[in-house]
Amino acid sequence: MSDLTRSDRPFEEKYKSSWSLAAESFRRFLILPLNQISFAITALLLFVALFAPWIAPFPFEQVNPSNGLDPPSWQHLMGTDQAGRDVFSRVLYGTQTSLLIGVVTVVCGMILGVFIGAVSGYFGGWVDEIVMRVVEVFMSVPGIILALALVSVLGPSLPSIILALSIRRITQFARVVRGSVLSVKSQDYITACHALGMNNLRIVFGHVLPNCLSPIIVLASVLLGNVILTESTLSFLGMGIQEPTPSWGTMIAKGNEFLTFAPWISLFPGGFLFLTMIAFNLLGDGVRDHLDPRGGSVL
Amino acid sequence: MDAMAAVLELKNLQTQFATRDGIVRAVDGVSYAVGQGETLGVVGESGCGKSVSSLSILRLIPDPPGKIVGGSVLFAGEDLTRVSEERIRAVRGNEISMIFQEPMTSLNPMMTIGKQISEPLTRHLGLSKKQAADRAQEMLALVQIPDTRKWLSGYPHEMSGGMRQRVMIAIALACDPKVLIADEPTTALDVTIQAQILQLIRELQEKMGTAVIMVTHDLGVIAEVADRVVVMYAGRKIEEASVKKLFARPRHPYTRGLMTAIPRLDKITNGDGLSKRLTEIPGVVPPLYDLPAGCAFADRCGYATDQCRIEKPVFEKKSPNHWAACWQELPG
Repeated sequence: MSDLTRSDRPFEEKYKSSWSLAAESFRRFLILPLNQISFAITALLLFVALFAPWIAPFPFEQVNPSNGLDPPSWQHLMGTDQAGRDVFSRVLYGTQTSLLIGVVTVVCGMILGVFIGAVSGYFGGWVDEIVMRVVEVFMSVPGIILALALVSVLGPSLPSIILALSIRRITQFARVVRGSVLSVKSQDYITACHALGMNNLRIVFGHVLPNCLSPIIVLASVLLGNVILTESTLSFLGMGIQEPTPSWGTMIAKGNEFLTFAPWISLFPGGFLFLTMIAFNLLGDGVRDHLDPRGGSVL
Repeated sequence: MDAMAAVLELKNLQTQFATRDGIVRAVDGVSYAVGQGETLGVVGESGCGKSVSSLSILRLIPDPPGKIVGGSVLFAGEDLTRVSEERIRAVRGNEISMIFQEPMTSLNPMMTIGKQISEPLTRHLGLSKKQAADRAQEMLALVQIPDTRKWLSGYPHEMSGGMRQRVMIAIALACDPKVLIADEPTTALDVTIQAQILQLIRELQEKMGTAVIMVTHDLGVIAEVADRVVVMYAGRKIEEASVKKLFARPRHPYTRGLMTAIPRLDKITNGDGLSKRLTEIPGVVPPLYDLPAGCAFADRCGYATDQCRIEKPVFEKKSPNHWAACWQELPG
């Protein structure tokens, strides 16, 4: 935690606007070096994704067969692929697709999954039975098969890929959240909430879910990398992002056959994926510790 | 309960739990009442139904497996066992409040103290956030927490058990309730803090005129704070008296047993320096799903006769302001 403990903070807080509170909270978040690093990488990735068309030296689909499979040079910072396309430019554009798929899928899965899991765990009884059986049906089908089936029905477009990947995330979030809701709802402070006359809505969203935050954040940061990789599997099977649009996953998968003599084709997008996962995992850990009033040290 | 009008009255309340072994009659026809500004002590050992009876008042028994199957809880002309879910929520924390046993786990660890005190205020009294925060600060001062401005944005884990129990009291009293139910409020605290918390409850009760139902297994607590006492055993009320009368001459052998079981510093040795065994009540409470036909205490009672084993004792007046459910006339 920061060098300021909670109790030394300025105490006009109850009269402060929520904006200045958020700014204050963000400033405290950035005191830890690890948080600075993860935040900087994440910000850099977002910047790259947003401004790829301006940063990239070449258009991502520009082919130049005469200098295919060129190793990294000053002209092509990350070399070229078999069609002579600039790997650096494609990685930058790929950031757009991969981050979009990763973030949107995880956020969709999180919103729906958390809601379903919370309702299921909190109310229990037959609601819980039905929801969990449905979730188990989805869990029993291997994720990639489910996604393949959905994409082949809907056609391999960005929205349908996101939809196909989201469904699995919903079930994953639902199960994890249900578990923590079950343990939190039997805590004394939830009984105390009932005794204070709060309604179920207020108890679930105001008191139960904030205490389930840790597993949700951890799962989200793990799933983000997972989703980006699953998209590459879809691409490998011809049901993912279609050429020539680049995504890290497709680039890693396509570069596979040249790995022995032109490793840069897979290596650089792989490096970016690695960096992204590290950044989001660190960010997730940091956010979790930051949101825990006990400073996260108890976990 | 003769002079004062009752604020809250339980009449023949029955709460049962469905378990694998059968129906557990946790509260089996219990009646008691508490008047304005009065403190009613409810005593008994673990599992005698004292907590269940107090939770039943606000319908906080988890259903299933629990259920209030009979009787009534009369409050301000209403039977709380029958009012709508919405109405009982409006009563909870507003007109009738509760304090729980475990202050260490009864506060939400993710929320500031100030917010937790404010919540019932914005909810029940419709105060704005700022008004509620001001009132929360007043409440903290009232329960004698120093540096109230600082603690408003503090978190529960920064507080000691005693301070947390003070916060619980602040939350419970924030809406100025007519009745405060304190379910073993001092059990988890060490003795010096116990005395402080009891003193605090007492002071606030005088200041606000709240009726208090003090549920405890500790006769010491009862002697300290209660005006009137109800003793429970195996889901039933077995004795009721003013606190003076009860301690002067308990009429039920169980109450008597409880009193001799209190360890006393002046009686822990035999006079020869060797320590004496603590007194106990032999036997255990019969299972609540399989109570005997007669008095539930008969098997553990030194005075029991055949009548006790066959016929349930009637709860009757033994002397003015003193009732008990026992066939025997105990020697004074």
